[in-house]
This record gives sequence, structure tokens and C-alpha cells, in this order.
Amino acid sequence: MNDHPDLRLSRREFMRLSAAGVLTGASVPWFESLASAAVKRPRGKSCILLWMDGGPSQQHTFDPKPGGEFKSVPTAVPGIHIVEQLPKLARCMKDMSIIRSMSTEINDHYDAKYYLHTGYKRAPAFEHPAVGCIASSQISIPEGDLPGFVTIDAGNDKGNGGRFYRSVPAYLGPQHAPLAVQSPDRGLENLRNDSADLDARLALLARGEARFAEERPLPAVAAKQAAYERAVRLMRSSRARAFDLDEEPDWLRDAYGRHRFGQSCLLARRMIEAGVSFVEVFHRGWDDHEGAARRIHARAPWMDAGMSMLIRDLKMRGMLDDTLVVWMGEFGRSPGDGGGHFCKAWSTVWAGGGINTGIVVGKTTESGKNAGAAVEERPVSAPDYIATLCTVLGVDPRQEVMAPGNRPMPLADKKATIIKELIA
Amino acid sequence: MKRPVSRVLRVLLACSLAGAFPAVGAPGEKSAAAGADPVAKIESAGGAVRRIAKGSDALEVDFQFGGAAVTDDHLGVLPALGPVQVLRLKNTRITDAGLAHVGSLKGLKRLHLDGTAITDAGLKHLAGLKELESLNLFGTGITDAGVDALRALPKLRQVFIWQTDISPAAVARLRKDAPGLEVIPDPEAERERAESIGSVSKSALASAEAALAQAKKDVNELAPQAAQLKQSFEAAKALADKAKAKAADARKQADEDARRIEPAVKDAEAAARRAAAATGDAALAAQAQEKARLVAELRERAEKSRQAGDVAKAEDDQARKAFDEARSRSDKAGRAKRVLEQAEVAVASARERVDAATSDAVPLSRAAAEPRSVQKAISNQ
Repeated sequence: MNDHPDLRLSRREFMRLSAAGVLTGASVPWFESLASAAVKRPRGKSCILLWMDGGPSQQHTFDPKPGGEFKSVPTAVPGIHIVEQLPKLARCMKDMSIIRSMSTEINDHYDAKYYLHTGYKRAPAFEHPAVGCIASSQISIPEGDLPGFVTIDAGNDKGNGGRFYRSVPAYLGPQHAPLAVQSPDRGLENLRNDSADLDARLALLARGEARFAEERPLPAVAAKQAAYERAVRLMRSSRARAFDLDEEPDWLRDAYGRHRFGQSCLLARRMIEAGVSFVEVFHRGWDDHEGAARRIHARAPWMDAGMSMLIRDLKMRGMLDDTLVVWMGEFGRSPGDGGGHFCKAWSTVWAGGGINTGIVVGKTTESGKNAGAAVEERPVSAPDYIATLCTVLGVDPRQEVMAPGNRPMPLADKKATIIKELIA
Repeated sequence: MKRPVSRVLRVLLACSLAGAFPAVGAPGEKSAAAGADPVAKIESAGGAVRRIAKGSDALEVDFQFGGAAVTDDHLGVLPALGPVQVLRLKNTRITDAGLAHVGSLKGLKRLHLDGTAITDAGLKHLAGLKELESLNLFGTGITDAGVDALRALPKLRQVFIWQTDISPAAVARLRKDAPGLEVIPDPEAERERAESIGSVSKSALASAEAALAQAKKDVNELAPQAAQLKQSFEAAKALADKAKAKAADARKQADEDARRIEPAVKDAEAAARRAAAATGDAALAAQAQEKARLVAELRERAEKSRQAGDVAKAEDDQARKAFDEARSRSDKAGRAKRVLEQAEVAVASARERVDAATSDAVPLSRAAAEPRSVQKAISNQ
């Protein structure tokens, strides 16, 4: 059963992890639930993915270079520097880790978005499940009022950045498709239950739907029904209040920043508190072909405020150890002004989730005219990243799910190596 | 084949664990003893029980999504469950009375009481939790009086006190008495954080403003000369190209001249040998002399063309330098407006950061953190 040596944690390692104590060993993988029948929530972790669509520049954020356009400044962790444009995040460095050695092969927007969301390269006539859907299928509360996976649109700067990738559950089942929130301010306004005869109307609808499904047992019909049932359940649930940002005090909304991104981060925290397992906040427009400096100058204040406040808010509520926050895009930007796509050497940031924080994993070249053009230490592939994310959430990435054509597919590619630096 | 095998192993593992800890209950046992089974009781209130890790008998009991369905009654089953290390009671309806049961979980390491109605009196029940490492009191009514109870917990390393009624003075005292204890948030650390962000933002603004001043200068001084600078850049380019061609020619000539020396030397040596063999042959001797003279001449010519090559190269280098300078000035003039725009964005962004440096200095106490509607009601009066 253990024929993938890099993913294997021995029994001794497990013992060591748990002996390390509850605080330091908060990331102990693969919880075992003792639930008798219906497992309520097999694991206790959740994740917020901050997706900077289009590919954010690493040298204008978390991997500054000498002589670069942005000045590099110290953080709360001695020896780790990031750009001066992110002073609030710099003070959160003890709760974050930077992976500077992402190396992911694909420079095309859509294919890279697919690769970094699924851990698999796009293939003809085959769809792989997105990581949010994996989390929903593995660690969410089955039959809960809330979906296991929610996406929040945090707006966009400009139109480009390639076709937008939508998370698909594929063979995990339609119930794991994300619930899409179009804007953090509006929440679920279309889901308000204002109608007195709603139950009667829904019953009528259900009868019609049942007959239709009986006659046409197709996946699309099941998917629509799953979405519908979920929406109705949510509409009736007191937990739907989680979508209403007006319940938050003004001072906290200010602290997150009065920008769609900050408010989306705040909504994401509310989702996690209400029991959602995976929230993806995406902001589009990071495809800075005319150079990243000017655009990131303008974005840095709200990104700094929103992301740092999310980390602090989770921390002060005692939720950070159980909530992994990941910041990334589908690739980075070319060295220098960041005008081009660059998949060879780029950065992601991980916070919370019980991982080891206050560290930098990997290294890119430091000197020369093309500083940062290559990974010098510890390259991290897309499958490595997905397998590590699964492990941190308590999901065994080797676990196989039956895909179409009786094809057992592991959740993460078998070639994956876990980033052990991040895990206990 | 792999999948069924691994499943069988997993089932076997589960069975062996269940055998080792019968109190916990194994899958399928629920129906046999529904009423008495503590796991079933916990699940009936929306809770979950899990092992902390494979190969460990330590348990985590998670009620955080059970909400109002979870009461003190559900805590009564915990002592019978096994070694509970983590207990999550966030936003449940438990009270001080229920904490009496929690106080008997001697192996408890992590306890979440956030958002519950517990009070200072309830915390007294926790005095026996000698293993407790982390305690979450976020959003509870705990006051300075409750802080005393924390001193009885020898292994406590982390306590969450945001939005409670604990005063900064009590936090300062606690920090002094228990130096290993992390108080989150710590008013002192929050103050330092705000100061650091403020000073970093201010110095970043200063350097952004300096860059803006330079950019303005370039726009005022260089930009008007852009056309002229472009012309001189083009002229410099023509000169540089010419110098480059000249240097290349000179180099070629020098190489060619140098190449001609070796065969001439060989030729002269052969003639010298022939003259030496035939002593007295005046013609051969004259021939050898002539060839030796030719070698000397070629050497002289090669030396001259090498010098000419060096001169041409120096001229080329100079022209290249002048060209680079002209180009950089011309580029700078051409880019000046763009650089200025960028510098303006940078200053605006830096100013935004200075203004917002303290925007996340959030209220720490519960009283100051009242939600918006309440605050509005007060300010309208």
C-alpha cells in the first residue's frame, strides 16, 4: 500500500508528530474519525485560498531582488525580507511561510490555472477535480446546510489574464461544486426566503424534477438537482446569515479594508466559522504585461490590509491553527519588470493551518542581471503543492477515487513529494 | 488491486484499535447500545469525535458546529469517552456548570470556550487541568478576576482573550507572572506592531517622494530635450557604428599581417640553411639576406597595424560609451513621463499606507467591540 516512498509517513513519524504536543503537532495528518454512522466532519481543518488570477509578480511581493524595482525590507522574522509595499504582512511573517521555488512547467494562463487547481495537466476528454472540490468531498460536513466549497469574486483590475478557470468537482460528484458568491457585499441576496408559499412551490417543483430525473438519469440532471437542493437547504438555514457582512462591526470591516478583496477575506472568515471547508477568494487582473511595478503599487495597500487582517483575525479568534491561508496565482512574472508569464521560479505564501511558519522554503537565484530567473534550491511542482495542501488539511493525497472508465485516480499525482519543511 | 487491499487493511486497523479502546466504540456499534454510547450522544448534538492521529488513542471532541444544540448535558459523557486531548465548544450553549465535567478531563491540552456564556466562576473548575496548553476565551465575559484561575495551569502556553473584559493591566501582570505564556492579542505587542508599520510606511513615503522629485526634475529638464537627445543619440550611434567598422578592419589587417610572418620566417630559415651549406655561394647568401630583411619588414608592419588596431579599438570603446550615455539620456527623456506617472502612483500608494497604518488597530475589549448597530444607536442619541 505504501509504494510512494515520498508521501509515506511511517508509524514512528506519526507517533512523533502527536508526541510533539497538541500545539506544535496541530498539523498531524490523517485524523481518524470515530463516527458511528454518518461522519459529521471527519477532520477539523479548513482552507482559504487567495487566488491572484493572471499571475502575480514574485519580485514585487514576496521574493524581492537586489536592485529590483521594489525595495526589500526586514519582516518580523529576522533574515526574511519582503517588499516594503506590504508592511502589515511583514509584521505577520511569524504566522506565514513563503515558498519561493514554485516551478510548474506551464506558462499559458488557462492550462496553468487548471494545473495549479487540480495538480494534473489538462488532458483531452478528461476532467480532474479542483482542490476546493477535493476538500469538499473529503473534509466537509456531509449534508450540511452550507456547501463545503464557496468561491468569492473579489473583482478585477482589468480584463486580461486569460480565460477564467471554474472549479469543477468532476468525478467527485456534483454536490461538491462550489457555491459562487458574486460580490462580498451582496452575499446571497437571491437566496432570501421572502415567499409565504415557498414550501408548496418547492414541493411541486420536486415532484416534476423527480419524474424528469427518473426518465433521464444523466449527470447533468443530478448536478442541477444537487445544486437546487443545496440552495433550498441553505435558504432555510440560520447559517445563511454567514453571508451577511452587515453583521460585522464597522471597525472590523474598516480594518480589512474597504475594497472588495478585503471584504471578501472577511466573508471568507465568516464562511469558515459557519463550517465551510474551503473558500477561494479570487481577484482578477494580475497579468501585468506592461510591467508589474505600477499596478502592484496600486494593489499593495488593499492586498496588504485584507490578507494581513485575515491572518490576524483568525489568529485572535484562535482559528488560525485550523485554517490554512494560501496566497498564489497560476504562475509568477518574468525577472526584472515582471512583464512576462513565468512558471520557472515563483512564490506562494502559506499561513496558519498548523504548518511550520516563519520560514522560507526554496530559493531563487539572487545575483546577476536576471536575478530570480531560476530555482536554486528545492523546486516545488504543482503536484507537490496539491499533495502538501491535502496533507495539511488532513486528507491523504494518495487516496484513490474512481474516475470514469473504472480508472482509480489518486487525489494528487503519484509523482508528488510533500513539502516536509512545512509539516511538523 | 491496490484499492481493495488498502481498504481491508484500514478496516483491520480500525478493528484492532476498537479492540484496544472498547470505551470509544467502533463503527457499527452504535445500533447495539444507542442510549449509552457516548459517541452517539455527541453526534446527536452535531458533534464529532476523532483520534488526534493514527496510532494514537488521544481524542478530539468537536462541538463547534453543533451550536445551540450543545448543552452542559452533553459534557457529562466526556469523562467516559477516553483520553480527550482537544475539546471544541465554540459558540455552544454550555455554562459554568458544564465546566465541572471538563475539569475532570485530566489529559486535556486544548480547550475552546470561545463564544460561550461561561464566566469567571466557571474557570475555577479548570484548576486541575495540569496538561492544558491552549485555552480559547475569545468573545466571552471573562474579566480580570478570571485571569487568576489561569495561574493555576502550569503548562498553559497560549490563551486567547480577544473581545473579553480582561484589562490591559491584567494582561501585563499575567505576562510578568507567566513569561512562557502567549496572550493573544497582547496589547503591548499590538502597540509595537502599529508603531513599526507606522514608521516603515513613513520612511517608504519619504523615499517615494524623493523618487517623485527626481522624476519631476527629469520631466522638466530632460523631456523637453527629448527630440534633441534622440538626434544626438542617433548621431552617436552612427559614429559608434563607424568606429566599430574601423576597429574591425584594423583588427582584420593586424591579424592578416601577423599571419604572414610565420611562413616568411620559415622561408628565411630555409634560405639561411642553404646559404650555410654552400659556403662561398654569393647568390645564395644574398638570397638569405633578402629573406631575413623581408621578415624584419613584415614584423615591423605587423607591429604597426597592431598599434593601429589598438587605437581603433580605443576609439570604438569611446564611441560606444558616448553612444550608451546618449542612449540612456535619450531613453530617460523618453521614459520621463512614464516614470513620473509611476512615481506618482508610488507616492499615492505610500501615502495610502501611512494613512491606513493604524486602520487595523482593532479594539481589544468586548465593550469597545460592540457591533455597528449598537454603536450607531449610541452615536445618534
